[in-house]
Amino acid sequence: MPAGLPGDRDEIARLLVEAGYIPDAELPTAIWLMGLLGRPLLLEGEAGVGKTEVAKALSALLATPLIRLQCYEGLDQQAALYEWNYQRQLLAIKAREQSGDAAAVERHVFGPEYLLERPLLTAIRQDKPPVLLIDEIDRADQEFEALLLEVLSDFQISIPELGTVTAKARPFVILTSNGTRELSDALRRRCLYHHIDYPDEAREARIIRTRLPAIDSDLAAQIAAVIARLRKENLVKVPGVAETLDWAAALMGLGIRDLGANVEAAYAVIATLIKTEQDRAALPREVWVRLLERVA
Amino acid sequence: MSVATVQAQDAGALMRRNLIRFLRTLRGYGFGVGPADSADALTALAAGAGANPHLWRQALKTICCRNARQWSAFDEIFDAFWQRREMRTLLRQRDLPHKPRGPTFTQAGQGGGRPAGLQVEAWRRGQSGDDAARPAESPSDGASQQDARRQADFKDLADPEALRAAEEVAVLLAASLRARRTRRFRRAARGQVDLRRTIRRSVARGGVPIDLVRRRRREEPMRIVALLDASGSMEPYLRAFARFLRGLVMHARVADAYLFHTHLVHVTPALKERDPQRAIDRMVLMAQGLGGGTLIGESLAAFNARYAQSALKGRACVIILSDGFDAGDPDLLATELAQLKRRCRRLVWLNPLLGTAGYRPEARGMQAALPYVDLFASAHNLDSLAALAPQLARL
Repeated sequence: MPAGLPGDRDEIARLLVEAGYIPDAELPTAIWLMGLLGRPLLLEGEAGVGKTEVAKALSALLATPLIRLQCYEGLDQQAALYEWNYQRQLLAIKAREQSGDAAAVERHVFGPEYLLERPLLTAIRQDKPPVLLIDEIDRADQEFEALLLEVLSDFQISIPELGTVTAKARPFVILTSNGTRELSDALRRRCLYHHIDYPDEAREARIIRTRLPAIDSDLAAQIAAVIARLRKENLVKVPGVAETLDWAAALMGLGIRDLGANVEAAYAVIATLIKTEQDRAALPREVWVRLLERVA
Repeated sequence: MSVATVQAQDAGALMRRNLIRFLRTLRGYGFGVGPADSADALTALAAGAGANPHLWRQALKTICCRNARQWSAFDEIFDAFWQRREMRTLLRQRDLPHKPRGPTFTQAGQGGGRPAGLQVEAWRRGQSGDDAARPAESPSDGASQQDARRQADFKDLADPEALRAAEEVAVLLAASLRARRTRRFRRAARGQVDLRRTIRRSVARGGVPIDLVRRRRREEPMRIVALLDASGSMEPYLRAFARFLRGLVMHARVADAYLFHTHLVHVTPALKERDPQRAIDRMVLMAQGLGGGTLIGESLAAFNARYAQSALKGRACVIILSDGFDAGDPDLLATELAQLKRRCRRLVWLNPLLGTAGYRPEARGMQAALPYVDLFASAHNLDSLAALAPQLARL
């Protein structure tokens, strides 16, 4: 078991809360198993439910660095593992042209000081197990998944010119995906799985209070109730937790303490919640007023 | 050894045996649980995950689930097995086709409304009730006997030669869609210089880049998504179009097919059946199971909500095969088409009536759809299908 993770789920839940993340009932078990089995954890869920936040909270909990690899289409080995610093190598070769010993030059330019570490290699070379966040893995292409599988199964990377780098400490790996592409079975098989849903009303209110400690707790409850109803509306872009927090912050900035008494002002900052024109049209002022009146 | 430890050991052994049986049950429901997962579950058990049912469920859920569908189905399967063992038989006898893997796996809780559920439903209508437990097997002749008269009307299209030709046309069509350039590179004889490889090579020449390595962007084929209207008015064309879709699904590198009428059904797996006749029969059967007035807008909405995100990633060409007779709201059709149009590169509407002399696309549905369509073409015979290839290539 990698060091540093408590063996008790309740303790994990408590530490997550301390790190500013309010987990659902199942997440602490998933993290506990991650530590126990040494397998990566695949987090899925709609955009804005806090998948990335889990990794941040975990790294805070373990007091280890968070190494993040943001995936995108066309991500390849040079951007994910390592690359040689060609310009420096070229300079070094030119500078040593007179020495005549080609073999020595080659040994020199393929030394560690010419190696540019990318996130996966960085994660493997840490002394203390870091948290490795592979964000939005579904955006990378299938070929990259194969590369990732190799790294995740052995936690070693072979660099032809240098030799094999093996992990000193196994990182805690968290992968996130929100389904722009179906992931391969092989990758899913490697991982533990956890699906994050939008938080229920009580948990959302707790999240608001944790993230914005200065907020009035009645207002937090009202906001959570509005958001819960809003998510049931047929919206194109359902507001996530991040949107909720933005809206709460905006309301606080306006000095609002009770939504029912400030319907107009609350509607004025709806730009923090509603992100498409269609949704804006689907939620005219009257609907909005009714929504607030039911809550307040 | 005390009595207590013996009992504890027995309990442990029982738990392990039950665990193995549970994992087997999961496999029956289409979970891809491998030996590595079994070992992990045992490790978790040894570390105290079996201490209470709550924790045990969460641990097994995390280890065994692979996707959101399994995630939401897991709790019910777990409860049925661990808490109400007698429920297990009940659950098995439900609509849920008890077949490993594949599209027939649905959320245990909800039989109807989903592709596999519909499939079962369609099957039940075509067959007597007691055979309904074997949905994916043996397509029936029952339906075709039942509709013998209707089939006689389009027997010229049902002749095997014409149908095979429809499939071949689809192959040509798939090939005519241009490939997409990706952001990944591959080595090539011509193209821009690949600095990384060139410098690696130059080491052997004392740092002088003599061997130039070149690279080019790799190309990826265009995805094809076909949506076939299976309403009553489209019936004469159904078999030919089904064969056409089969051609797309079997031969294009990435293609997906859907059938819609009042609902939308994903039919790619059914079309991939090895025997073409069986594949077509399955599809016709599914179409008959749908019944009622055509709701194109609702079906597109279902596609946009459930499938579009994964089916249309990257560059896709969406082909809608429909006569545009819509019993639903034309505004909804327009909204959903607009959304679909934003998600795909090409939107093609093939209307078999366009080949009929004097036909003008005046149906309300068709009128609502036209502004969003890149290519509106006829598809009433093989020639018109074949004529599509150059037009698509130009798009």
